[in-house]
Amino acid sequence: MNGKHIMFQKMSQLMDNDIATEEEKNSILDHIQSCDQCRREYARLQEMMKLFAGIRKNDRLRADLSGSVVKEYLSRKRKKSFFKIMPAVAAAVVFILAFGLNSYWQGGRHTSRIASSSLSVAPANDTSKVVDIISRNNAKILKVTDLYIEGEVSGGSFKRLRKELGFRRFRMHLYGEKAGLRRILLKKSGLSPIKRIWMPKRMEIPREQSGSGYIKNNYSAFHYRFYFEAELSNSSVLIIKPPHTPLELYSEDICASSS
Amino acid sequence: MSNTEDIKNIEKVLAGDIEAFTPIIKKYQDMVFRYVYSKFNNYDEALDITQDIFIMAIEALKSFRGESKFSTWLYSIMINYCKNYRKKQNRFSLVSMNSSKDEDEYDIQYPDERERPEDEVIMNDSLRIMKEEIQNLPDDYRDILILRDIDGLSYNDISDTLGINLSNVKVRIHRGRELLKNRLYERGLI
Repeated sequence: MNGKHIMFQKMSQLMDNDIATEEEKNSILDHIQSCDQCRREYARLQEMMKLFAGIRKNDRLRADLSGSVVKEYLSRKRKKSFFKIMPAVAAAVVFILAFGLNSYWQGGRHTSRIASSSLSVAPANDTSKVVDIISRNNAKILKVTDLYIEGEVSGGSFKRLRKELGFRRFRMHLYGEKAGLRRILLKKSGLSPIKRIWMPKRMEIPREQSGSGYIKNNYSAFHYRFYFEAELSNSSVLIIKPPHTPLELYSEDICASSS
Repeated sequence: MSNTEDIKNIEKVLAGDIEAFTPIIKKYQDMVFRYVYSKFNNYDEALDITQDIFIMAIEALKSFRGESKFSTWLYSIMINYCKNYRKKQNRFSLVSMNSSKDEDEYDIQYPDERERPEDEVIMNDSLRIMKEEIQNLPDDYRDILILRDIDGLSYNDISDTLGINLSNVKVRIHRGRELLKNRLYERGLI
């Protein structure tokens, strides 16, 4: 109090019940009741506090935020963890790109060297595999190139050889050999040699196809040999060589000898 | 829910049970929202900010050491968030469409009530003017009056939250009230 009127600070303290002593509080209240000016001032303060209360009552959430907060938090957490690994991913991508570009650049400058090495290295791996398969199946290797291996195999081993060569493209030609032996076999089977010789002709030998069609006919019984060209896996073009011995000529020989 | 219960829930959250934060949100959401709404006077904006404050609180929960009440810690986050938000806003301040060059006219931001249900109580003129005047108070007075007279925090909580001593809190509250009362009187509201 300043002697005449109560200071606003005291009224404000009274509003908060923050007057030090009960005696002082009563003294202030007494003055407010007796002094018009202080009463009006205090009434204004009370009115203002009512407005505060009005705001407190009015400004309320219309919805419960707890669910949305948790949901949003989890969503942001997922995003953050994704972005946390991004530097590592970015570094890996940069490394791969840099490595790839370097290889590409080096490849561009030394195309011929890389190309020749890929031809020499990759086929060499597959060549050794094919050579191994051929050897295992008692076939004879006639020629080895970068693109294919040429060889011959008896009818009995042909099926297994073809199976083991797997995905590799394969071209073959069927030829009869050792007419004398064949004649013997033909005689044993009771069939006319000429008739047997012409059988392959009707099947349009030589022709390009997988070996399975031939195997079904069990040519092994006749000791025919398959001349094959097993394409190496890196080759895109299969070079077909003309048959070593024209079948027609061979057939004629058979016919001539039998006659 | 006491501070002890808050602490129990916080321990659960820190152990990985995020749902344990739900009762804390329910307990404090109105208080946080009122403060934010009083500061920014836009319902939607206040809603988003309130949500962000709670998310920030979850993220920062590890830093809560229990030295103060959880509510005090949360209010500190709330106040700092709003301060930073306002700074950001000022950096990208909007130009009012109905601005006038006349010196005695000024733009007033009215609460955006578009999203509010029609059956809700529409803020009356007195409250609107009151809010305008709260908005126009200096920061030091506005924040402390919102905490004290709208959110109902104690002097001690305000002191802890704002990091100012108790006597300073009291001085600011009383001076703020006096300033606001004078302005409301000038506008014929009280």
